[in-house]
Amino acid sequence: MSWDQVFELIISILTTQTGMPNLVFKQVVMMAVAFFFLYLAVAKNYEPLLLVPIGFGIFLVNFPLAPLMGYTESGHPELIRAFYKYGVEWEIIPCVIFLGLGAMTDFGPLIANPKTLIIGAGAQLGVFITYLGTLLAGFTLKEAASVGIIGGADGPTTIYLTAKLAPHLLGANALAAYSYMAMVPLIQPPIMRLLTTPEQRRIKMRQLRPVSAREKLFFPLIASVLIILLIPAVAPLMGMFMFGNFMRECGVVRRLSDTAQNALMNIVTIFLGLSVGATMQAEAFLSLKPLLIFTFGLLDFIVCTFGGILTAHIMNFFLTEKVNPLIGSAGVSAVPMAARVSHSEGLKADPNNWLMMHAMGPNLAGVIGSAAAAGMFIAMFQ
Amino acid sequence: MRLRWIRINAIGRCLLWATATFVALAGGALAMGVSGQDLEKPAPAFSAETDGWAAELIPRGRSTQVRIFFDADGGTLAEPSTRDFSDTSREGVDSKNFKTGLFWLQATLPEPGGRVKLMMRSDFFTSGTRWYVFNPTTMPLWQDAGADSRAQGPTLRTLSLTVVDGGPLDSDGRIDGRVTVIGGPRDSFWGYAIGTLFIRFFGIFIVLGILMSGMFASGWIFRWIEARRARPRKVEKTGPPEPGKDVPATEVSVPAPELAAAVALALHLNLATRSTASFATSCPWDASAWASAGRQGMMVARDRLFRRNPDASSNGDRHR
Repeated sequence: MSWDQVFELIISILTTQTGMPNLVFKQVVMMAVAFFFLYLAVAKNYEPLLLVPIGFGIFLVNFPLAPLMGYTESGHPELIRAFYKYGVEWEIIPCVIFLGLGAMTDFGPLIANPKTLIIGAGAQLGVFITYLGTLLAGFTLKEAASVGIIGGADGPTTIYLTAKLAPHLLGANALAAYSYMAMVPLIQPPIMRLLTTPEQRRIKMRQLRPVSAREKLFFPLIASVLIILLIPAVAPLMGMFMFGNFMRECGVVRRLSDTAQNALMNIVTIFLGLSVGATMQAEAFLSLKPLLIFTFGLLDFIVCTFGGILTAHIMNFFLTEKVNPLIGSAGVSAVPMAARVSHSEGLKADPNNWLMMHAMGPNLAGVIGSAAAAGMFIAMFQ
Repeated sequence: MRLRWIRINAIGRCLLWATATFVALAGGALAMGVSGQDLEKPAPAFSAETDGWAAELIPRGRSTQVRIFFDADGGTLAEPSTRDFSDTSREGVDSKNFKTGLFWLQATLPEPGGRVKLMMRSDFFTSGTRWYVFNPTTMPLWQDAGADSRAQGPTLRTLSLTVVDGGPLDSDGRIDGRVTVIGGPRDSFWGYAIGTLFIRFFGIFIVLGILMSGMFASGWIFRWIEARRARPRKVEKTGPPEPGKDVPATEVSVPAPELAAAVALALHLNLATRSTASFATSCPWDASAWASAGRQGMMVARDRLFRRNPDASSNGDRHR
């Protein structure tokens, strides 16, 4: 073998078997995006449970020639593609996360004050306004629905709906949803202060009635019957959510409930985060649409907050016992962050105004409302 | 003035800003050509049926397949095919309105200059569906062909169109014993989008409103049950009545849970050292053998309950 041949072989190996010569500028940009999200998660503690796997997923899939998101020669999915295909594409992971969320949720505040369900419905205003805005921007009906649901501030619902309707937008939608959920304490307070007077923020609400264990046990059954009968398309999400809650409340399967809340939830979160991050490959992500999605997502959150507070104001027209309009902003889901924001804003107005449990009602109603909105959208395309 | 407490100015400002931002974003996106790609272009697959042809396709804005049947009366319909909007002029039409795309239909007539009735049938069509036809030889290029729309059953609808050879709907414009129709069913995209927007937004209020009513009803029922359980109950006197004397039933209030727990604990501690056989002998009155046996059985069961290992009752262990 001559030196020329050796040199040629080295060049061939370098160009075809190493990533270095295949690295393009767009991939470097995406790695910078990955580092940004990892920084937000690690240094700023913004939704680290999701943003760490998502950020690392983005980082990994933007290496050239890395066998992660493609298919092998025999047609089998590569590692992260397999997570994506069986977890997200088959719509399993979002539903399993809803199972865990159900097992974690105490519906007591919502059962004690069912009126707050209406606030949860009003807080979906942004979902529909954004749907219209994105249609005007030239998105397709399915894309518009999947972008609109970002304002529901419910990660698994966003992922579930996007994977079903517009899988090519999954990365951008999921990232926008989780980023803005982490930023709820920054986004919501100015809007809340803008839309309420100091007197309204000081409204004290009567302590919630105690809810018996029997009532909590029957709630998932009653809610499943009513919601799934009205919107069958939401059965996978709502069914799992209520099943998780039933396991929690029945008290005889504590081990299963504990697994759903902790081990199972953590396992699927890892796979979900990596899969979602891995959809953000440079060639698919670096376009105008993700930028628009982030902008529309922010507006979506703002309008949803507005919708929740406005609904609380409208309810006060008809109620003898007024509700504090600050709890309206908690209707955007983002459990329990949005309820905490309502609580802290209430405390700022009056140090003796404890709104946490009152805000949990619309907060939980927001989860049901955003799942219902997702079900409505799915049904629309069937 | 009654609305003074709502900060109308603030809300108005918010709405104005939100609208302006949405419009700016939408305008910017349109200008930059976000809508340039036709991501949902239907790709119909045609097959021969006993009474004509059928196309299977996923229309725009749908996730499920629909079938459209084609038939001709007064001529022979050749296999239909699909046409891209780029093959025609887009002047005056928006491809979004044509959810199923464009079809190219060709029918052979028995003699030149005749007429043929073309029919499209599907459960995807609504009463608002129109059959639009493209003809490069006429102005305007696109026109509503004025097809007759008839419902056949609860969901099926037929659009039928009479085309004259060489007439305004014949795209080839020639009297040659063959008619060509390029066009397709058209629905209003924006009408559908905005209509469904309102229906679904208020649908969420309806769904959650029904859930709220259900919760109010169930809450009322559960509270009634709880109140009923907490109410003082009539307890019959268990001892034997004195001969010849009626003993009125006494009202005994249900003790507080703490008191009951304290009594149970005291009993347990007192009886823990005794054998189970002593329950029967500690009977305070002269009971019959049946009553003694029953009482002993009950007390043994209670004793077993008191003595059980709390760890063994934790969930899951009972399945082992």
